[in-house]
Amino acid sequence: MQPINKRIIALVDCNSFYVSCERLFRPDLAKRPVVVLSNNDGCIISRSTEAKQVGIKMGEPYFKAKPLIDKYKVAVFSSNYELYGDLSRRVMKILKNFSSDIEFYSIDEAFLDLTHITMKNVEDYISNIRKTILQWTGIPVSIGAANTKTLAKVANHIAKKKKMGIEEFISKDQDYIDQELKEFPVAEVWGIGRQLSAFFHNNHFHNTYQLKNADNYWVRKNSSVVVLKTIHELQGICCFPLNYTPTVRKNCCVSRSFGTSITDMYDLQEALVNHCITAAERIRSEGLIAKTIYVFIKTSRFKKNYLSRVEKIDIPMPTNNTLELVHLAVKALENIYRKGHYYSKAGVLLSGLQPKAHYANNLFSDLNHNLDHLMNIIDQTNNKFGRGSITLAAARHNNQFKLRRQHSSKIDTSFIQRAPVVKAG
Amino acid sequence: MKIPLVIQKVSAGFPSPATDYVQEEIDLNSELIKNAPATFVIRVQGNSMNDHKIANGDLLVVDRSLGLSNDCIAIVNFNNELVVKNIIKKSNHFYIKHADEYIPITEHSDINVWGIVTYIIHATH
Repeated sequence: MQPINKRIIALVDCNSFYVSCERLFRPDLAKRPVVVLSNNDGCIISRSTEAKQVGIKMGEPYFKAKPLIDKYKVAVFSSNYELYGDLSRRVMKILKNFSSDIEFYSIDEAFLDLTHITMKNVEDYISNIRKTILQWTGIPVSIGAANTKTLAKVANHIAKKKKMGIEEFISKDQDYIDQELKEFPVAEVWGIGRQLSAFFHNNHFHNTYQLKNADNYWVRKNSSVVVLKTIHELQGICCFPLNYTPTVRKNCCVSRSFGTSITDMYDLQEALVNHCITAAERIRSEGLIAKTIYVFIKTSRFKKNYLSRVEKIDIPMPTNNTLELVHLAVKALENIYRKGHYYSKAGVLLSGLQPKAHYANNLFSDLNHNLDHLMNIIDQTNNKFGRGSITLAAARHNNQFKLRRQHSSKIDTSFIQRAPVVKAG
Repeated sequence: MKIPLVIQKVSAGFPSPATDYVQEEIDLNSELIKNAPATFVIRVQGNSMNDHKIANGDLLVVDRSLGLSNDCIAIVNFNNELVVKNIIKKSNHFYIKHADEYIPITEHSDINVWGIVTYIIHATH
């Protein structure tokens, strides 16, 4: 019997999340291989089980996977973050009904504290969570429950292979858990990763059970405190508590490779202005302002005369205002641009981010009041009528840098104008 | 921004008796959407459901958390395609009507219920 004060932590993870979202309104794709591409249709970022089975690799460039995609008639989608974002919000909202102690770990993963559930009811409880999410949103999830986050991750991996989609270590005895750990690869342990697992492999740790029983002093001497904590977590001692407040990010980078390289400064400028608009929108939505802006342009690393140039500008009055940021980015570009090169990538990095509320008003802040108001109106309008409804003239020089989204489902379940269409039967 | 339905000007004389009844503005979301994370808005294409007061271009409020009931309208997966259908209950079984034929919804049939239509939003102007 485990001590009563042990926590019960569940990890809820949406299965092939982006693919599951695309399948919601496409029952014809339920059993077909499906993949979703990254921004600008670059790489494979989500695969259905069927797509994994025909040998399509995670992160593989689209053009490289194309022969397999054609051969197995794999359905291809450009990423549609409006749809994924809305379905993620729905899943997280449902989870809140099951526990108020919740850490939103990523767009498709959350940790729940279920310590309030009686131990013997955990299996029914997580099974009910799974059923509810599937019925209400159509998104299949896997749930693993254990005494620590690290073990919950292990349980989740096992749950993924089960038809029921759930696994719990709460009501199980230590022998059962150890048996599972013996079959669990070290590289799959949360926070270990490829490099560390190679290190452990060289030191004869071949499975997670061996890692769990590693000598504390040896680990401390040869590795890090984080690994030591991970090992404690494998032993059922909670070292990583749930993190309820999302960490405030320090940077916001928006960059993109060009489909075909460009030489003209005004073409570069247009791309950078668009990135600047996106970055400014993003930090505004998080209530942040930037202290520094970096602008960078690059030619292809794989071609002759590789050129990579960066300009850093410290902003005298930290801001999230599109007009000011664009103005600085354009100035920066003029400084770093060199004629006669074939540029393949350009980007903007906003740095030294801090909550706007923390920034003391200064003598000149009144001047910015009207600009803030303008930004609010632009954001509201773009939220209502779609991104880019209001933008800067400089962002539309010839418009060739719009995101490539050739295979987008174009559905947005949070926007009536993009509502899914269904035939009257 | 929410604007209250009743706004009273400050004036001399009798206060309006209506001030005691100040309410929030009408909120169609809370009226039409009972279970937000399970509710989707879907646009209809085609006129095959005109007999059920559903026209081409109408918006349907669809709740995925509800169960079937007799004579309900549902979004169903029929032949690997989502369609709007009327569902009838006869002697404890549910059927969809398809081309003058009643097809039972069973665990073994290929017909899955996607969600139940709770409201039809039809523009008349």
